Amino acid sequence: MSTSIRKLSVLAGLLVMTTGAFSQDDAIGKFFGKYIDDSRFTMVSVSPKMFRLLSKVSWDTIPAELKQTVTMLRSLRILSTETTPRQFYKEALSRIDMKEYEELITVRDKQDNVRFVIKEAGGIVQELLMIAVDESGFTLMSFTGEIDLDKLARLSSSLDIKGMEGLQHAKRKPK
Amino acid sequence: MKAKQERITVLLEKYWQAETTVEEEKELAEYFRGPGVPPEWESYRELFSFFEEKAQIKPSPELEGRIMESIRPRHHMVWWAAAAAIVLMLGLEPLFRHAPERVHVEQPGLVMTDTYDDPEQALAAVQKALFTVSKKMNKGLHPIK
Repeated sequence: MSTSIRKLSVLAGLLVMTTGAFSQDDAIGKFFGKYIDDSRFTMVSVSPKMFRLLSKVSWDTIPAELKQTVTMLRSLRILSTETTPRQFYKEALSRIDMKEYEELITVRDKQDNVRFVIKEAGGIVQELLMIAVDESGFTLMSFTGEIDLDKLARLSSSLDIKGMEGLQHAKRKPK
Repeated sequence: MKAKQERITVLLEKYWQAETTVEEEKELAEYFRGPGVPPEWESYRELFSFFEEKAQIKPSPELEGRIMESIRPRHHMVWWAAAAAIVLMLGLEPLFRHAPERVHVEQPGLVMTDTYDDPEQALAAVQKALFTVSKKMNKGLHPIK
């Protein structure tokens, strides 16, 4: 009797643990949680609940590729500060557990320092974290969900063109 | 007498190899119970009479009952375990039902508070963020451009 109860409680424990694993935080929550309510930081978050609500928005003006990318996302959080950005950048690099995250891209030039790290499981990128610093500040940006890196990389070019078209139209209109 | 002893020697040999039949063992026991066992086999006589003695012991009639009694609680155990499993599942059921909510929103230690109430604004922010990330990624992927 006691052994079966013990077995059952182990089972129950496992169940709770697995549901707990699903509810893991993004990198911001895990490594920068204490700064979320820090007045030096600005926090922008779009929760999974809001992501579900996005489907109710009119998508007519949104390019198909962008739509596909957005619908695969689960959450977005941006934590940024203008206070001692370089220091926070260093802190971020030391805090992020590189056993869990994999380095993707590092950009270093005169203006900025950007690192992309990803969390992958089963060949699917589940989180993309951008750690960036420049003169104006330090930014951590975390996307969770199912992230298609190729699609994401292509976005800027398609958006650039769209943006340019928009600009041209805007210029033409007043004439 | 000599022949008998020779036969017993053979049987004993078989006995220690555990190859004797029930009949042969009976024969051995009878022999050692009887008279004329040579002094060097005296110790065997005790041994076989001991086995004989023990063989007389019959299980008491309650034994079966006692065995059944000690087995029965295991059946109880199965039912208890099944009952406990059902109770446990019922207890955990709400957890499963609300699983998606918990998973996405009730993140331990930090409930994700939305910055925007308006999905339109949220979408605009997501677009902007994606654009920023994409641009920076391209900078890393195609530094020459």
